[in-house]
Amino acid sequence: MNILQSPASRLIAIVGLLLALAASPLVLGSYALHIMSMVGIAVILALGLNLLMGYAGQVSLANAAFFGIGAYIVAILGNRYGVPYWVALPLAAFATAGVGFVVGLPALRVSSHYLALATLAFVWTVQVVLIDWSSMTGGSPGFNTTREGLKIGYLDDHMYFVVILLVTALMIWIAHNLIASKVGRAFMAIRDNENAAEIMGVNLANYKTLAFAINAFFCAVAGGLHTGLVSFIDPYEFGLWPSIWHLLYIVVGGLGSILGSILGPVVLVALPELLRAFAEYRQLFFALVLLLTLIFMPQGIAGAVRGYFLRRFAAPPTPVVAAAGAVKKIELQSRHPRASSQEVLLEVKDLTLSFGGLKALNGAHLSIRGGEIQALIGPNGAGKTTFINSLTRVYTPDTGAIVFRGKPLLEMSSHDLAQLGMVRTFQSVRLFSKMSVIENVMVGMHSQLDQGVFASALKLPSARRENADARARALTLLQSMDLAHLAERPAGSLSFGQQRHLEMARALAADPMLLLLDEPASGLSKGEIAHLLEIMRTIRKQLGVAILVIEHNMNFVMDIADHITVLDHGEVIASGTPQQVQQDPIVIEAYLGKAA
Amino acid sequence: MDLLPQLIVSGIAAGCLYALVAIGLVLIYKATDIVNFAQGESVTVGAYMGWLMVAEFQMPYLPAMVMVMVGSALVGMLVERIAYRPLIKSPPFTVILATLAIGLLITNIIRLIFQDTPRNIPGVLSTEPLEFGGVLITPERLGIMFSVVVVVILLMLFFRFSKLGKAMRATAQSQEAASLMGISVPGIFSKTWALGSALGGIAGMLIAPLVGINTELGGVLIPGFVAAIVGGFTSIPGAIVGGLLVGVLENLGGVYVSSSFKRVTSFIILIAVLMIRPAGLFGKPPRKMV
Repeated sequence: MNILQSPASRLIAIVGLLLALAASPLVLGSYALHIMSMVGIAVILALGLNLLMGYAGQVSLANAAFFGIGAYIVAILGNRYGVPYWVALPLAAFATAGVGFVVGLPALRVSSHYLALATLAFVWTVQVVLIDWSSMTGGSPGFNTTREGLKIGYLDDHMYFVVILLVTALMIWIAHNLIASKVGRAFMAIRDNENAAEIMGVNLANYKTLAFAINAFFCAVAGGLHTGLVSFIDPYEFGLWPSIWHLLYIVVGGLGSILGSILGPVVLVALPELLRAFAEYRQLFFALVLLLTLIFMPQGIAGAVRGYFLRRFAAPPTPVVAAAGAVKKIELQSRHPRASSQEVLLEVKDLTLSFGGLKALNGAHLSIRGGEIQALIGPNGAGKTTFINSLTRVYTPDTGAIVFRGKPLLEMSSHDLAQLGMVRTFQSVRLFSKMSVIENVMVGMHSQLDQGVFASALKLPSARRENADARARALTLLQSMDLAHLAERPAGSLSFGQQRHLEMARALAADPMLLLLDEPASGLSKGEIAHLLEIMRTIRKQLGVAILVIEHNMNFVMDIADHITVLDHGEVIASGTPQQVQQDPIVIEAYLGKAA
Repeated sequence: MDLLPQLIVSGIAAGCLYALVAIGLVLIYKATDIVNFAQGESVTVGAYMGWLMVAEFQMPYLPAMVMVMVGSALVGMLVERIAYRPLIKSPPFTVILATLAIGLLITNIIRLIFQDTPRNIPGVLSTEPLEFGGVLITPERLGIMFSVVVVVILLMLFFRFSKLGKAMRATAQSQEAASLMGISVPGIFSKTWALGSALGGIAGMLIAPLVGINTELGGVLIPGFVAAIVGGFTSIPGAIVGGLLVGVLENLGGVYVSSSFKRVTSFIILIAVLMIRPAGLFGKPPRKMV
């Protein structure tokens, strides 16, 4: 493995592998050539599916329809309208991506089961159209096509295989780039936790539809290559069962893994072709493999291999250290001018919100100045979390106004807040648990990164620089939280205290002016609480970040807060310095009940 | 002759069967939060079982129907045991795929046993149409509607008065509370899958005389899925209304738009519902929870 560390030797290895693959049919013969061509196409399909399902976590059965649309567009443009293949293929890919975008729209409103049904409906409808629109598509018997008709230029089967090989390599590279970019991180964040992704500035609607569009793009490229490979296109290859077969590639290969997207097709396309004599049992075989994989190897081949190597070679997990020492300087350059302690950062007025008959908030109000640490306290059910959820636009209050840095928040969406400078942590930690620790922090930088899809996919120098810079900043931030040595671990494998610190690091990465902490001390040990206090003070002192903290732990609150607002039954019953609030008879009554 | 009433009536006959399939889906979904994508296969199994009983073993129709229920219920329990229970903690995606996979498995096993020869169950009722105020309908279709009505009434009685039916309703509302009251929740899951599939099986047996039996029969009742969504996926009356609506609209689309449109009508309805009112006609709109 170490040999492949340097970029130059990795490049040589890849070129060598491609040359060997390109030459191998000379030795293996024409049948192997055909199978290898099919494997290449299947790998592209699997990559597209994995980006959508394995990385973005969206369920779809539409892939065979996109595959078909791509195949037919290329065939029709070439054979009917004389459009050269090299123009038709990208045209088909982008047109199908547009279709994918539209198919992704229901994903904004419904999830898993309904999405499966909606995309199933789409596959069915496309197939009916392909069969019934026979004047254009050739109908049920299929569409006859030749390489001459497609104007590919003179290519024999072997040369065409080399084309497939190169396109496949290109698509692997693109998928790899996407995953390591802002786009890929946004996808994984949505998969792991939609709420937290939104808070970090990920626009769910944009990225979900983008995932569908990218999936459609990959499927259509595969479809276009398929058209060049076969002599006629069969509409029955684009129905529901083919969609499920394609899913099998990534389930068996490994969800959320590029290696899996390659291994799955290699095993599943090559194997049944070798077992051709048993063609009658092909579907049965597929179904059985799918079922057994789901039950016994849910991570697929790639996951099983990775698991084996982790167990075999990984260093034993480092013991959890409750770091109580002094917090190192937090290295973070802020985009924002530091708000002065005179400036009102957040002004909340007259917030009222009812759930049915219950008034969760009843005229609640508070205001926070730059650099201030304010605590929001109150008995259970007082409406504290509802208050924060209204600030972060999860709930829309019935009446009231929220103004943050002069902007009316009620006109914004959750994903706009990070850009404005407001982020939160959650009462129950919400990390992107399958992403690595450092990737979690990088998602926090989402709204500061400018790279678009194309820059990300093609790894343009601008995107490359931006990602490298983001990684470096994330690492510095992790160092100041004592998490740097865990940077490449999955976030879900951290101890609870470490997860709380990571969530804080992620929030800081968003470069906030106001940090909302929802019960940050709950579940922490004494040492960890001391560390947390230290971190909060450092954040305020070095970065001038204001903090609104909800907390039950009174010692903690009295220790850190400049100002306390007390909420009871959705109303503000007191507001003042810790000393004032502590002596307020109304507060004492709310907490302890009336003296008899 | 006016076409519209005729189309509506024959649409209702198909809609009754969609409703039956939809009720089966809704029962399973309410209990376990899973859409059983193998429901279409329980329809196929029901049809083949019916053929075996009626055509091969010369069994009278009613006992044959009971056998069909038992047979497809067993299939449902098998699906639950293989595709749901081991994956109960997996993401929904995994379970969706697993039910699709087991559906594919069942289809192929049937294909291996019965080959691709089409078969049929001889109808017991006449196909000579009767006329009611200008609308023609065959006793065969009337029989289907009547059977579905009987099944639905029995089902309502079962849920209202039987101990098992009440336990199923309790489990659908709160697994935890049901379990605390001494109800075996996994047992209820298994029985609910059995019941849901049995309904699919009956639908398969009822539709067989109309369209013939082949291994793809389950696909004929795919609009049943749409019916469940139109009805909100958690409501039995919703599933019935959804089924009838889909059946009728499909017939209208097939005649007033184009015959190939009939095949995609239900999906256009589906997409419209998902876009406009994803919670369906009878479902409660989902509230975002944090």
